[in-house]
Amino acid sequence: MNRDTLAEHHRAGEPAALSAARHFLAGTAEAITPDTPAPELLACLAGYRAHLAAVVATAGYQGSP
Amino acid sequence: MNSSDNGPPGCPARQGQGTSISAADFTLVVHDCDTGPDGRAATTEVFGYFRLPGEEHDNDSLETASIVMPALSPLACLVHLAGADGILTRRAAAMLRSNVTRCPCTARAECPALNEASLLAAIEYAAGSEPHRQVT
Repeated sequence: MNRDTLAEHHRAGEPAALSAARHFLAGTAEAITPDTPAPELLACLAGYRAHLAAVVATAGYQGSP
Repeated sequence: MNSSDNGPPGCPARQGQGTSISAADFTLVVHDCDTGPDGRAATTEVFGYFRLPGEEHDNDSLETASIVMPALSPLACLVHLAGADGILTRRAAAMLRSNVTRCPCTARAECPALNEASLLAAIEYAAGSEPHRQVT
């Protein structure tokens, strides 16, 4: 997903954390192969955790009274 | 030997079904499965087990939980790396052994030191990451 697509999601009212997570996921899906070295894979997992935490935190705010 | 001979009672997984984890070999099983219509695997499954050298009965092994993940995902690539490299597998085994040895639980099944989070932490540690706290 490029920056233009990311901006479209923002305009569609998608929370910024979700747009960023979607952007990150799309980027890693293209970059990861079975030959990807371990440090890069670990960095990906750390990124997934960070984005997931941000999405969950955003959802928590939206769901609270 | 009764586990009470070694001090206060602790996690039964130390002795399992007769397999002392301190003496058992560790095997990490990684396989792709659920082949889709395109002929490619859709998921990757990983689990591990401790078994005494020469022992062939499944009943005697101490198994970790299994994790199923999308094939070719970063985690799937990581577990394939860990499963194919003996040094990484031994590092993962050492962390799991340490977790079980320190585990204070008295559960007869599903010891938390061998659950999904513990297995994931061990694989990441083996691949070069520092140990991180488990999310409970």
